[in-house]
Amino acid sequence: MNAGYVARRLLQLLPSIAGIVLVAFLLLQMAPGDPILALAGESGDAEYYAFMREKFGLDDSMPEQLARFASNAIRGDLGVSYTQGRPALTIIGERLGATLLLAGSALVISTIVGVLAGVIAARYAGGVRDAAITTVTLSLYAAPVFWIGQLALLFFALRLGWFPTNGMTSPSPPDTAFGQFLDLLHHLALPALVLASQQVASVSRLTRIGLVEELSTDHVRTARAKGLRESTVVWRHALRRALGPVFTVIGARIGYLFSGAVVVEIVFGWPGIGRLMLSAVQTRDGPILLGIFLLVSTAVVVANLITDLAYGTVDPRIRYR
Amino acid sequence: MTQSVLSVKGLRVSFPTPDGRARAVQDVGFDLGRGETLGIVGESGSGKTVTALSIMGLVPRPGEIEAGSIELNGENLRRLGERRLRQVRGSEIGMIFQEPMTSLHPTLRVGFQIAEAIRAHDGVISREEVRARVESLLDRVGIPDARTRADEYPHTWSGGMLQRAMIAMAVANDPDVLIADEPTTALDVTIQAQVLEVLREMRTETGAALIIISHDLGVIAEMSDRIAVMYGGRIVETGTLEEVFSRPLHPYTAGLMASIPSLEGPVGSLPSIPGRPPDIAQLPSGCSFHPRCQLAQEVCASSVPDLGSRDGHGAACFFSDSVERPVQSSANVLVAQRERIPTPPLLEVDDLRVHYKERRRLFDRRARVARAVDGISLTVAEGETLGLVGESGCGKTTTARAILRLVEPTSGHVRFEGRDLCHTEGSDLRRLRRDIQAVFQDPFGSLNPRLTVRKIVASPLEIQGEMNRAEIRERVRDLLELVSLGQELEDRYPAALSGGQRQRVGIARALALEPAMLVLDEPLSALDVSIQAQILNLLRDLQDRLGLSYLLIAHDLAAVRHLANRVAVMYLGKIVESGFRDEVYSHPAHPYTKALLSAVPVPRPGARSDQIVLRGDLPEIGDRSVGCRFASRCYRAEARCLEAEPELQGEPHAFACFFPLAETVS
Repeated sequence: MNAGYVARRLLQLLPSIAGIVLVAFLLLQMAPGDPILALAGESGDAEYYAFMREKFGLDDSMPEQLARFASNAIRGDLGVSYTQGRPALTIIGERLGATLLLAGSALVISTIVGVLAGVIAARYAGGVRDAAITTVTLSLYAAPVFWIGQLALLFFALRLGWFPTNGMTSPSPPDTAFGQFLDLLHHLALPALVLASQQVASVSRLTRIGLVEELSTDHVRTARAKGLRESTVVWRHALRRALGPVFTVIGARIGYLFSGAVVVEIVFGWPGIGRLMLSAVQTRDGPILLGIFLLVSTAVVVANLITDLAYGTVDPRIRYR
Repeated sequence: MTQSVLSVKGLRVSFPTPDGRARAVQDVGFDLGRGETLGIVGESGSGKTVTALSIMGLVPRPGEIEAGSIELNGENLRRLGERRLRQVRGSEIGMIFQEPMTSLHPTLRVGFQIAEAIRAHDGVISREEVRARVESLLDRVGIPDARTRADEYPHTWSGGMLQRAMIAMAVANDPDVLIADEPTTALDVTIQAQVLEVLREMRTETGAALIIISHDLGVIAEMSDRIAVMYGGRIVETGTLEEVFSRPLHPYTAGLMASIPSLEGPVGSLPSIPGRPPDIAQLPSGCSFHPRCQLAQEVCASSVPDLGSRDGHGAACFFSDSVERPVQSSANVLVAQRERIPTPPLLEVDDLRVHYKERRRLFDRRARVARAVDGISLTVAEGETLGLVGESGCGKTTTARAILRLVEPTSGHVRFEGRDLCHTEGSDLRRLRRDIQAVFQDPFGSLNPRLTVRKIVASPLEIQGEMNRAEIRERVRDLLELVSLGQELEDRYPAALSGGQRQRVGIARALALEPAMLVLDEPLSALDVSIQAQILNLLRDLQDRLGLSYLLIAHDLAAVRHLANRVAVMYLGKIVESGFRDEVYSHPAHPYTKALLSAVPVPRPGARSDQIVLRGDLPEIGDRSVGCRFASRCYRAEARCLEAEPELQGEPHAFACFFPLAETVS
């Protein structure tokens, strides 16, 4: 894989991101509601309304607004939040870390659990373990995430008291750094597991299908004929190729992960961009919403590119040029 | 025979099917002496591969060994735990599989995969020591530059090299027994000769006993001390190589020997075994060969004959004494060779070229050009068969496709009855295509699985749209009769047909529009040995009855010999030799033709005396070659061959060589 190829692929991302932003911008324009009314209430005085509309350029024509947004965005300026009066990028930046932590943990958990479950299901294909894994993962996949989240909250946090119910840190955090880290993990565990539970099914199903197929290939027969242990045959030989499609799906599901994160954050009071987005929708805070759109869509597109490139490192027969 | 290393007794393996258990292997037993080579011959479904996998303990689920014992040096492998069995695999028994291209892991380095075989049986060996052994193994099986090549991935290796690597893996731990399951079936004939040579060397070096499994009696005759013939899951005949070949005691063995096309002896229709190998899920009662056997009597359908002797020569047949020696009778030999045909050529191909541009990237001006077909000229006269032979990658299939306009020729002319095929479009092209039809290699892939036999055969008639429905129905019936397919097959789908039946459907479809010529692209190579003879005979018969012309594309020189009047030998996009069949086969002028002929294993013990084994692989079709294309592998090449390319010269026997073989220059 050479740098030129990567650069070219990155360049190709720009039109798709621009398209997404355009659609998001138009959607916001078409959406009912007025940010100034949402901000200042219905009974404010007309002069103040006019001042605010002037300040945010809301009376300009749509193409003018779009051009301004685009040219500013290229320079890294997403505009100023209507409600908070601070740059949107700063506000989103403050919340982004929490969401990335949540989504990233869920990604890691769902990948590890999903692959493990898939391997077990494939090795005992047609057996009880296979059926059990299929049932559980598909149920988790089918159930809406807010419902799972609330059930988990009621049971594990309220009934059993194993986990905190809300937030990212305790009201009175421990003094040591390590203590703070443990406190964070304690808060993270339940929302991350709930978010991951949605993703496990697709990972484990694909792992199972790929592995069952791989286990009957000629090269796996060769590996067995060499006298390798069955675990080596599975983990080193068969799984290596079975994981290709799994990576693709993980890449493609990054978007779902973010939308799932929004819901989970609200259920668990996690201070990420999910909650920010919800409040921005309620207050018609355009700059914040557009900024989040831009960020999430970029993340999805980049994640897909990374999985594409990862293929090349996993399979030596794929050469990018 | 010395004491036996491997002793198999009463082996029975079955697979569950919707209609009960299918017996893939029944009552199979043999002893393998130290250093001895046992050849197992059989067609698809005969149980030979399952027998081999049983010995390895690798019968794929849900298959199951139901009975029997497998003793390796006195230890019954069936009683061993998984742990001990693993030690046996790869260390005491090494196995080589059929498809080298898929039998190695595609994303692990070749050297690593061989190292795994060593490390699996030696936990304490050091990294450096493993590496040294891998390199020396690769060196021993003839991989040049083993040190760097060990770090490459399998997709950069050729099939022949991969099979060498498989052999290296199998012998890595000095096994007592080597099992080679169709080790050369996927390879070209010159590469087959190399791989068999390596296998022989490794057998000598390790002193291992060898079980070689093949459908090819030639390979078996060349490699084995003793042979076992399998049919319908049982060994039907066993004995030493000489015994079985000189006096087969089972009618199946005799029939098989008589039905193989050979490079010597008279040419004509082959005495083929009627019917087809049985489906193991529905084995006939009694002797499973009896429905196809000419000697069969009532007793054959009711009871299973015993193989008799285990060590000596024996056959599972009640009428062994009546089995005739397979002599290719001269009664059915046709005219040895038609002399020069006076009619004007039907098909004329003039300086045909097909070049592929391989662009590395967009807007790359200096694209590499692969010259798949690089100046081919040939003619086929009315009622004549021209055999176009060569190894895979030589461009013979591309030539056929260019003639059929399935790929666009880069330059050159193809004329059919004087009309230019290359510059015809639309309805004219469609009309021309009626006259040249094609039969393809893969009878499984070339029939639409969603259409019935009737629909498939009728589709060309429907496309041309000149017949009404009743006429089409009748024509389809006639066509199926022409290729000896029963009416009851009309409503079947391809999946319910055997390979031979499918190929007949393909031929019937090709004949639907009454073409003057058929392009046959490897029509036999996907079929079982006994079915090949049937299709070969059918093609001969159709030619005689309908006056067809054939362009026969094939790699099997023996089969081509039985069908072609003239042959042309291709190498890397060019014809290197052409002429009348007998002239080319008995007095080849080009060293490549000679090597190709000499590489074909002869199904006769001790036949081989002066085999020419070509070194190296078929080179990639390059951009521009200076000198003779064959020079890099030629055993007669001199300086001049590297400087200029010889022209194809001579009439009617033409060859492109500066130093033709002496006997022909007359």
